[in-house]
Amino acid sequence: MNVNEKDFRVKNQIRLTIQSRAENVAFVRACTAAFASQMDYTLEEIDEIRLAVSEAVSNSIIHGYKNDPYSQVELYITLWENGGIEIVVEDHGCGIADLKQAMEPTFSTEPGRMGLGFAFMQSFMDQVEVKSRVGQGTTVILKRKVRQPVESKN
Amino acid sequence: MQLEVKPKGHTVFVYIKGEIDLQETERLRQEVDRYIDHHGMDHLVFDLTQVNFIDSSGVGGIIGRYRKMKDIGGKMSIVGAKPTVEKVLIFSGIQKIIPLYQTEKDRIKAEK
Ligand SMILES: Nc1ncnc2c1ncn2[C@@H]1O[C@H](COP(=O)(O)OP(=O)(O)O)[C@@H](O)[C@H]1O
Ligand SMILES: [Mg+2]
Repeated sequence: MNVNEKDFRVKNQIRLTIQSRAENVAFVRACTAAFASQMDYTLEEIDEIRLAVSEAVSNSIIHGYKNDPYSQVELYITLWENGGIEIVVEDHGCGIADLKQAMEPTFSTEPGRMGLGFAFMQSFMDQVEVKSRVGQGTTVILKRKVRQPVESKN
Repeated sequence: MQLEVKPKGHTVFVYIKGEIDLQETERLRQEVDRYIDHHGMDHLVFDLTQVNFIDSSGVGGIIGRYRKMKDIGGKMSIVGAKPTVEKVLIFSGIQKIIPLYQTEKDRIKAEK
């Protein structure tokens, strides 16, 4: 096997399905942080990953499912051999009609909300991919690499 | 999240412990608003010394209380946010409308 193939090998993977209840977001955060700890992330990086997953799952609950607690949010979390995490957050809710607008900082369809969820995901992860279809649901893919340890300069 | 509301003169302190997310923001809103509605106050201070997580729902909750205080002619401050929490607050731009202080001492000194 050459180096490239090895890089794309899965190191570990979990799948999590939760009922769309606000009280489950803390559980998802704790679970994600514990799983991500299998990689060489700093505590600060783990905190940023917790924030991103919290935003994505909260969005599925509030916006995707309009707070209907009997729907389900699915998560697929993969740790890659080459040092990265990929978190897929999927709902089968209402979907997003205008993705570009939805991802603009401070845009929100809910009064009283900040409209900063996507902005947080984008600034605290390396890559954020969103796929959505009206009436079918939304998938958010969050990726974050493990930083190479900085060489100390003597 | 644990929440304690403590009045000291015309200033009311809200001590929060734990995580402020979607779920907990709703509780924060209810308890703090009930207090404001029943007692009124000049100054609301959120003490976040023991908060280890906040997301955009939590920030929205804090700004909502700020708006309520502004409506009754009062003011609001935030004290003790740890670096991870402070980073989220500053990213949201909250410091442009609500002053942030490292400690209660700093706040007293600055607001005297
Ligand atoms: N999973 C989702 N399903 C449907 N709509 C969504 C979803 N996620 C985000 N949105 C839409 O995108 C907007 C912006 O999301 P976000 O940046 O997290 O801000 P906020 O949650 O504060 O509204 C939301 O107001 C909503 O209209
Ligand atoms: Mg959001």
